[in-house]
Amino acid sequence: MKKLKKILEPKGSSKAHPSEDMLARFIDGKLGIKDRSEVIEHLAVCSVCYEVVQHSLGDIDEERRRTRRVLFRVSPNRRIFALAASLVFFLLVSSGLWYKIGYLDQKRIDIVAEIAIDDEMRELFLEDQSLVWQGEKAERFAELLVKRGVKAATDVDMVRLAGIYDPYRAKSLTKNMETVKITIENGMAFVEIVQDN
Amino acid sequence: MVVMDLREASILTDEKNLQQLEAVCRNRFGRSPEADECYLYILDKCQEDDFRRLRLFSGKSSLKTYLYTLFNNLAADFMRSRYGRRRLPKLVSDLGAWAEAVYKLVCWQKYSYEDAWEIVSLKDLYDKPFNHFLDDIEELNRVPCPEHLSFVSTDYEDYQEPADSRSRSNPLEALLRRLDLERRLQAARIIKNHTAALPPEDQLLIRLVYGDNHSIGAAGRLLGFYPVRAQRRMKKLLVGIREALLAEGIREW
Repeated sequence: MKKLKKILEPKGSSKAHPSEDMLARFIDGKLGIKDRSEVIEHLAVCSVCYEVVQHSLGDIDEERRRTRRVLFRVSPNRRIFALAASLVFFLLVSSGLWYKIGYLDQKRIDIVAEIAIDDEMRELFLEDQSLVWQGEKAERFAELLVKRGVKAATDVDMVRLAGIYDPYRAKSLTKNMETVKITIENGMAFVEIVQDN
Repeated sequence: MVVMDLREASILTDEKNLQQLEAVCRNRFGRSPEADECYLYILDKCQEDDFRRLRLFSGKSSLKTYLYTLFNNLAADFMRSRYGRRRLPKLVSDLGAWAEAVYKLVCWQKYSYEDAWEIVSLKDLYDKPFNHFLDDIEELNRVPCPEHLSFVSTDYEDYQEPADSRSRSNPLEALLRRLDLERRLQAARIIKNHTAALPPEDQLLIRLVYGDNHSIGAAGRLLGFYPVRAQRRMKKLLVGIREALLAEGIREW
């Protein structure tokens, strides 16, 4: 990696460097079009300013990831409490549902569909590398499927991917061979991404 | 003036900001003593001239981003002041610019001889094949290659920089690994020249993503692109590089 960085490093030098304030505004997207173009042109020739920007970008990204991890960290006591509460809730709900004959059967839908991957779907796959989607992301995916004719997806509340979407996989320039095979079962969508050459 | 001093001073006593500063120095120097020196250097510089550098913050970006930019710029200053004045052994200088470059790459920045040959060839400092290079650097083997930290540059791996948690597939890196020495040099030259001929926006995208391992999303955001547009742009750039390589007979994609 560091050799490739060396191969790609900006060539040239420039005496007039943008101020730190301007670089910060550039990183935050707070520059006008003209100023932004000037900064980008400068970064193409100035390795000093380029390194400041790329290091800052990395530091900001790392802080964001660290914050996300802290938010999701749960102490052992809380975990035990959460587990116990989940178990009680599960018992309550399932004992109630037991008497609702046919409820579970109504939710059980086995359906298999294969649809082409379009830009909207690709954007969802590229948001992150998680293989299990729940909540808002699962809802968005379900909406996408319904729009594309998979009506049974209205009941989907969880999505499980068989693998990660690889944007770099070599593709045919003449055919769009990227599809998803979807199986919907008990409110869960199992998604297999098919990327053929 | 006193009010302004108090406000700027409070920025440097805020724990969150100090943690930011520590993160910048740790990312550059790991757990080495240089990280602590970097930290103190930057704090001193921020306080200079009545916190002049902090007063230059216009408020048009977030304070966090401004501090990261400021701290990274000062960290680079620290490295230059610390390592910029090192002298090369006379034997090395006598051999020429190519030897100086190789010495810096191998002894200061811990590149291998193979990588050093590629890099000096790409910079047009050296134009002979690798086996000639090994003969030519015989002289350099007589020069001590210092291991002491004070001789080491900013790229020195012994700083134990944290492992890059942003591991992503890098098709250019993967391609270069598959090639033999001569073809690797050829491919590297093609990639370098092709990138240098692109518009500045595209050069920045390629450097950030393939040179520095940033995500396409983060690099695209810098240029004002939504993720899908950044993704499409990267795909097009990759296709362009691939075509340039294919045109020169590099088919191991």
